[in-house]
Amino acid sequence: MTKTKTFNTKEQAKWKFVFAISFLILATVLEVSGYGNLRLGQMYFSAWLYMVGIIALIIAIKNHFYGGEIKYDERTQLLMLKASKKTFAILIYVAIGLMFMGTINPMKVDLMTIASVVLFSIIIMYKFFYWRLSKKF
Amino acid sequence: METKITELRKKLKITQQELADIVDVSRQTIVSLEQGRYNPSLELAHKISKALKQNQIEKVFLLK
Repeated sequence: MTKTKTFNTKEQAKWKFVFAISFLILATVLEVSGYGNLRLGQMYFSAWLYMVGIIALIIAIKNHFYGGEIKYDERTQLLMLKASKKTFAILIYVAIGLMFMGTINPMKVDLMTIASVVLFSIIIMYKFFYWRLSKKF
Repeated sequence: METKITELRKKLKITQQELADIVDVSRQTIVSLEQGRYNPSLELAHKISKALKQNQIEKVFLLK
């Protein structure tokens, strides 16, 4: 049996608040002090800080009001492992399919678009498999 | 696998949440075990049997 790990998202919310507020303050300081045009890749650094800060703030508010104790026991860990394996397998099949398609008809794609599509697909696929497996096990 | 968790739990007047807290798992795991959807590890089966005051695992979990 794998050891049960317990997390209290409500208790951790205060640290997320601190993290979010610091990012938002730092972004505002950069904007006010005239360093707002600093770039991080294709985005302005302050815009990136604002984005991360706002996302962290939303998560912190959600955890503070709706959070609670989460237990990762042996069943949960089994579900996570199975969902990860399935997501990974689909990712490999899709990659093979795209490579095969690329040999027939060469494609030019924007790396940033592909990266964001892959990232969100992985998250959605994982959540879907986890939900389906939790009905089975 | 068939289990007698529900029967024994009700006899001891323990809720699913209370049993889950005793054996340190989530309530959903107890629900899955009661419905026979999930097969527990030997250690968890032993813990549940002990929590339900049974000295033998076979009295709680029956292999079909």
